[in-house]
Amino acid sequence: MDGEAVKTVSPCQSGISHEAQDYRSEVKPVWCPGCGDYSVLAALTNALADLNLPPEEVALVSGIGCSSRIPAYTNVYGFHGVHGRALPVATGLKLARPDLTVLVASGDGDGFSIGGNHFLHACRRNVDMTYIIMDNQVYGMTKGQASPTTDPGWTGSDLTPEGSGINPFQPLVIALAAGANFIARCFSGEPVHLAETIVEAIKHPGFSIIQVLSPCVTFRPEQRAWKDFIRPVEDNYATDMRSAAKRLLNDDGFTIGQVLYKGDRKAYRCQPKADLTIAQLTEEFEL
Amino acid sequence: MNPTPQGKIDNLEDLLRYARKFERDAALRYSELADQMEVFNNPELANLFRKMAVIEQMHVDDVSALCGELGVEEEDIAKTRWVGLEASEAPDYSEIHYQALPAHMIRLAMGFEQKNAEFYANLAKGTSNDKVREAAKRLQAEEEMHLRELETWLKRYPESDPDWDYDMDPPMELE
Amino acid sequence: MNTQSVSVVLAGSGGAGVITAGTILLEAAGEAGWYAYMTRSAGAQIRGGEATATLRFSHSPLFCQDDQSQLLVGIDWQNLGKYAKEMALSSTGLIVTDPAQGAVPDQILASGAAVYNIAFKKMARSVAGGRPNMLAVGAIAKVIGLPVEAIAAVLEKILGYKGEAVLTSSLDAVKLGMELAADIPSRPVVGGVAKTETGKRWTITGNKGVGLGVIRGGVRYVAAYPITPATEILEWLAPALDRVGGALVQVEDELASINHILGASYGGVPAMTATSGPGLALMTESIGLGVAAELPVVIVNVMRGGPSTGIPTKAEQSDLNIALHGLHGDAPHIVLGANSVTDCIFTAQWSVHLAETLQVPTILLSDQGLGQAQAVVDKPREFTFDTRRLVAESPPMTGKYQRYQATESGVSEMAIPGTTGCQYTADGLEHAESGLPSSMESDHLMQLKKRLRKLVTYDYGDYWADIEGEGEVAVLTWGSCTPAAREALARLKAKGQNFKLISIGLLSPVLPDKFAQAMAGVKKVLVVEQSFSAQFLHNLKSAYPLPAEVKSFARPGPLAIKPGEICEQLESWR
Repeated sequence: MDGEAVKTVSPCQSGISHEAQDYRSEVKPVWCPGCGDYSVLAALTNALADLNLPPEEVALVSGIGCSSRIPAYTNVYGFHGVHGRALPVATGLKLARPDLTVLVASGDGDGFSIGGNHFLHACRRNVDMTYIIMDNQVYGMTKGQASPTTDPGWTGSDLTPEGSGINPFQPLVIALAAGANFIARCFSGEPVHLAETIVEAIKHPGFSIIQVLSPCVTFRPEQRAWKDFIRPVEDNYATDMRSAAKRLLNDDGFTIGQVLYKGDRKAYRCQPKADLTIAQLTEEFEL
Repeated sequence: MNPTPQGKIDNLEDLLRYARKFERDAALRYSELADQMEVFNNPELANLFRKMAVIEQMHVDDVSALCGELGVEEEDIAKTRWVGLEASEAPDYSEIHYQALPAHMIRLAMGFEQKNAEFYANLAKGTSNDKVREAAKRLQAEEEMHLRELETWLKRYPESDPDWDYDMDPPMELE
Repeated sequence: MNTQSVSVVLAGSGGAGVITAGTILLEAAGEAGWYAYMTRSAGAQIRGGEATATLRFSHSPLFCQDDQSQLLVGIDWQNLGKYAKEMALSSTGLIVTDPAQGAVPDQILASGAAVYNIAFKKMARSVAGGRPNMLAVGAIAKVIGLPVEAIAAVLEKILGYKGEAVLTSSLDAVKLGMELAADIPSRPVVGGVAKTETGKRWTITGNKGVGLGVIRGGVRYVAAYPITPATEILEWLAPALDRVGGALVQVEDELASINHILGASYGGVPAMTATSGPGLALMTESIGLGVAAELPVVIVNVMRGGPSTGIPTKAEQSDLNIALHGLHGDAPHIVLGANSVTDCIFTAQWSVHLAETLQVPTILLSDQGLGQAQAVVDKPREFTFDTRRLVAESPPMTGKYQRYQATESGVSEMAIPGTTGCQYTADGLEHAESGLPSSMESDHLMQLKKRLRKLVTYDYGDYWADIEGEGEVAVLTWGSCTPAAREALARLKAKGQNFKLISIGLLSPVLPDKFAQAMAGVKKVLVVEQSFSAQFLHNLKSAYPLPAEVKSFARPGPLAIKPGEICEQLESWR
């Protein structure tokens, strides 16, 4: 179990073959028509079907925001937590129940702003889970404020009418520096590639992060143009941090591709010795 | 069982699996879009999408009939619930708008049909199996027929309204 | 105050423009010299959702909604049946519906109101560029007697920038709506006259009022993190502060907000932030730091339905407990409640004054019902406070500067960075008078007493509560329930029944003498609040002696408590 580079994701034992619809609930999403998150939902269910995971053995944890509404639209075990705290919830869940496949979903505001601290430490701790960030460079649910990935010159928010004036966060660079084990960027407009990447991310041990560029048609309608300049990365993924860092730092934030980095760090897990009875514990008190 | 990675299909069963999946997926998609339009209070489009979902369900029946014709066991095809990610292309959801005109949505649907037709055309080109090629060409022809049906529908609706996406109310905050 | 008014609900969905139409009607009423009050509800969609705007019109000032509405206009009825209770249509009311847009939901028809038809959608097409909601505006205007000139003036203001053509078509649509409503019985505003003098009235929301109040109070640094329903305070402050020489910064989360403003305050600049329940819960540790280090800051909590994520778009008064008791340790601080849209301005200003004067974090409780209600009001009275932080200008003649000197009043001189010879370290650790950390029991006791003394010996004057009327039975309430209670008591007074109203503004610290004075002669008390567990009642009981007969009218959100309900409570309690 220690030092394994490849983990086996065990598909359904009962012989049932699942299809994407099995992972959808009957709840009708309230995302605005045109929202990139619809494609993410479709890709996620396709990925789960491809892995043929029993829905009851998958957990999807989210925070607060439009993207974080996703668990209710699925048929897996969902947890809609408070703003920015999806990662610690997911970490606690996975460490207590290593048998579950744990997925985390949130937006750029939830994940990188209030969730920033937890993001650093989730990458560092490297527990086996997959974090899908739906990045639309805005806080959609509270009527459109700048988020950590918004350009400094965007003047569309009443809170920062002259633009935030500060550089945006580079989430994948930070993920790499903090220790994430699998780093990828996808686009909601390329759902097959996204589904394939999710499959790989789940299979890869340790903390996997997928930044999905997912346009907000209501507050950032100009993002509809993303499909015109998002392009695939030509080369293969990097397995050493230096090349990955170099490539990420030279990246303009709009390249999607196979995967940007695959590390070989061991996934963190709790491995208790479990070699004493409670009665034996009291021996230290005896006079 | 699963098709080879480059999407080459060399046996009838796999081809028909794909076909059946496409039509079922289309029916599901339109159903979802109808739901979206209901949630967003656009009953005209909701009804349009429901109609399309029903038509796609009829296309699923057409594939069953084709199975019979080609001597393929329909039960076997129906039993395979997953045919791999290549066949999981979702439509481009970004072009949908809660105040869209029916004309916009019919064009969108035409786009989906066009994509499917192209998929079968490529399959026909890429396969080495004659029967598969023939069947693929038939399926392609059917998709093209769907396309023409949609074109006639399109004529019934006004193409544009300069104000179609004007919503006087500001966005609401939710959480 | 005998409020004769007319209430109208406008409903529609998916781009119908209901909210905008409501705003036009409200502002037009203002132009016409009327008073108006508007609240709204919306579905779970960011755009295109179902929405209602509830408007109340009168010739007398209004601060809450009525028990029932007299006119309900539906541009369409998609997903709107669920608002039937909120719409509260009277049985003698009128429903105007577009027959082509579906049947009026049964829950609404159940009211017994009469139904009239206007083909909004079809008729809108007969005007170039005409919109159904503009026809609805016209129809409503006709029924309530709102003059078209007033609407024209508002359209000019709101749509003028879109050009002559849009302006004309909108006005034409409004006029057409008025014509189409010709056969609908009128429901005019009666009693009183329209106010014709200009410059004496305002249109404002509670949230904007808070913004204005803190600027008047002297705040010049604001840390902002968006949260429903407080974001509007911050959005108003962003450009406003910039114009008066202050600054607003959007931060990464609420922990950052509270710490930013502690920092700014330490530097001598009055600072505030605004949030809602979940944000306040995050801030509690650092608010305690503000208490221990004696730093003035104002934290506005625009309450929403709780607990946890709760009901973000609706009001509730269930954050009282956390505002009063949410800090760990014995950490006395000030808690205030604003009790009307205009009171938001005053209370926000007073919060800054108290925070700065007493060098203590002040929590101002508002709620979504006040924050997002828009009203046409008499120009609010402007208050001036001589707000001065007690600062150390120079070190003492002998010995070192003692930041936390146990003075008689409890307020000690605060040295602002830049002042020579008075350097000190502000600390959350318990400290001696010098500010140096101490775990001695004498220092702890001295500082605990100092921090309490400064709050309880201060003279808050008459602002601590609104006390109105006379009677053996009193209504005890706070915050947004106050206008409904006021109106309830006014109705009962007109019937010859007298009650006292006590609406507490200063919720902490406890003022036993003032309370006893207010309660002199009161034998029975009805405690009114919007909280499932009756938080206000329990806090009153633990703080003050109450008469033997106490009745609790405590209900959670999302529906507001109405004047008629309070009347019922009182009349049934003889």
